[in-house]
Amino acid sequence: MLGERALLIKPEENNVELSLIHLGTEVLEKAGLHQVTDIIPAYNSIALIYDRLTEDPDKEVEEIQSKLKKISTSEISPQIHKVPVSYELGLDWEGVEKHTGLKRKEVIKKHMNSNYTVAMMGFIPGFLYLSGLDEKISCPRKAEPRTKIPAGSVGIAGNQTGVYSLESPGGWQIIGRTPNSFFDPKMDPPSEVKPGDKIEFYSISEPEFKKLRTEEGL
Amino acid sequence: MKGELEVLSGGLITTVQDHGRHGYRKYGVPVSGVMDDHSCRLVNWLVGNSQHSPVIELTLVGGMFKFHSDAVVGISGAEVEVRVDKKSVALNKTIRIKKSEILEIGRITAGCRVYLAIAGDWDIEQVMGSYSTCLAAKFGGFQGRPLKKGDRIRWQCDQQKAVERMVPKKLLPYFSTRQTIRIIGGPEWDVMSKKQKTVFLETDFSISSQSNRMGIRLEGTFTKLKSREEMVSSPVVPGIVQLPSSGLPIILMKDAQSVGGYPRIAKVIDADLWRLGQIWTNNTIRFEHVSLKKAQELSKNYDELMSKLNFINLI
Repeated sequence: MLGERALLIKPEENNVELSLIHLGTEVLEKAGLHQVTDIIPAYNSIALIYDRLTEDPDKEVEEIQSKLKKISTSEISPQIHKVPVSYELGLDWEGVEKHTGLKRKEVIKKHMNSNYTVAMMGFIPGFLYLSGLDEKISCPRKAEPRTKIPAGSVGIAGNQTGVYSLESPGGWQIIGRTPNSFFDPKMDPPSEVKPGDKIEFYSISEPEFKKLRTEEGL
Repeated sequence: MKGELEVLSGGLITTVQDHGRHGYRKYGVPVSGVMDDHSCRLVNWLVGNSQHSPVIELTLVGGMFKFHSDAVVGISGAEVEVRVDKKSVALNKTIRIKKSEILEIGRITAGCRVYLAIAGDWDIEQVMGSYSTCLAAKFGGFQGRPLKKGDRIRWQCDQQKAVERMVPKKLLPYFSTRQTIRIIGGPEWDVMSKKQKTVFLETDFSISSQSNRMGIRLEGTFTKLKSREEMVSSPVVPGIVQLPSSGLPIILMKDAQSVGGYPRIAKVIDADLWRLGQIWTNNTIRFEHVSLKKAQELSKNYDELMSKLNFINLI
């Protein structure tokens, strides 16, 4: 159990398609469940956080099921975000080239050619965990994490790529930087991206990065 | 009536917090909020504020505040010496402060965190529906950071609503250096063998000084899991006890992230979570396993007890 005020929903099969998790999350959000404050999608489960005790899980599941029947899934479609990256601003090219055995140019090409899904957001506010990385450019985390990674950094760890929306410590191999920000506490919701959305990267030069960043007011 | 205080000394980690930020965890936003919810409810009650009002949370060492107006304040939480213009005043009792007096919160002698409430509506903007400071992302509370010398907090207070209250004895926290913290099994409780579970429940864990608002790191017997299977990142909540490969458990607290990749072996019951907000390196804790039903019953009893405080909602 995740707690006295929470339910954890797991599909019966363990290796479920991520898209099913996101569909489930969005359907649950639309269902308007009684006193649910948070619905958190992760790789193979969804957590429902209540602001009341969930004393009878069977009854809760019944309520969820009855509400779900009334939702049409046809209106649910993920948004696509095209994200500029200056690959010149990568910090770990040496390590990435060594691990993948590929030249920087080839890694960039492979990184841009994939379509990614926002698997989840977490670790720090606005951090995007993206699935769909070409396995030929997967890289282990750095043995020694950096104490400071600049905001907008795009990195690789294992078979995932990700975006640091805020400056923070971290151990991902940094291959570039985007001028876009995916977290603004002054906005509600604080991000235009949500789990389940699609991300496509395209390359920009360092001067273009600087120009776009100024326009973003960063 | 308008009120204002000036921070003369901010102490170690002194932040503005409330009952937390809810509804934004899927964007990776931590809950934040007071580490000791119980004391927060008590101080807000002492000054007649709603239980959702902001408070100042001081950690380990105190602080000094100069009041530029009269104020009705309350102080609860850890045991600490409090003086107003060098005269000792009592904790857990409504305190009246006069313009230009200095409130001094001394060194904490038992517990870890002290809470200061001020009657009225604070002139602090809510971010995503909460007054809490998110230290990791530097937003919310007072400019997204701990308070420091020179900061000023302002509020609006209706004198008519001034109250005179004292916390009933049975609601006062106790600070034993050895505490029993009750848990329910977490989603990965069964990754531990029967023997490991017994050892886990019979260990007196000490508290690492690396602990903070994100998590309480425990030291004691190592629980090394046999399966080296990597776990995929899964949802977590404050109170979840994670078991990283080091073998030493970490209890996630209010600033923890919303997903984590370590086995979630247990969860501290809601009725005991606030006690961990008062735990520091001179304490040891031992876990006691209870059923989910029992945990929910204890939560209900606690809420019933607290509801007798009869909160006044200032609209």
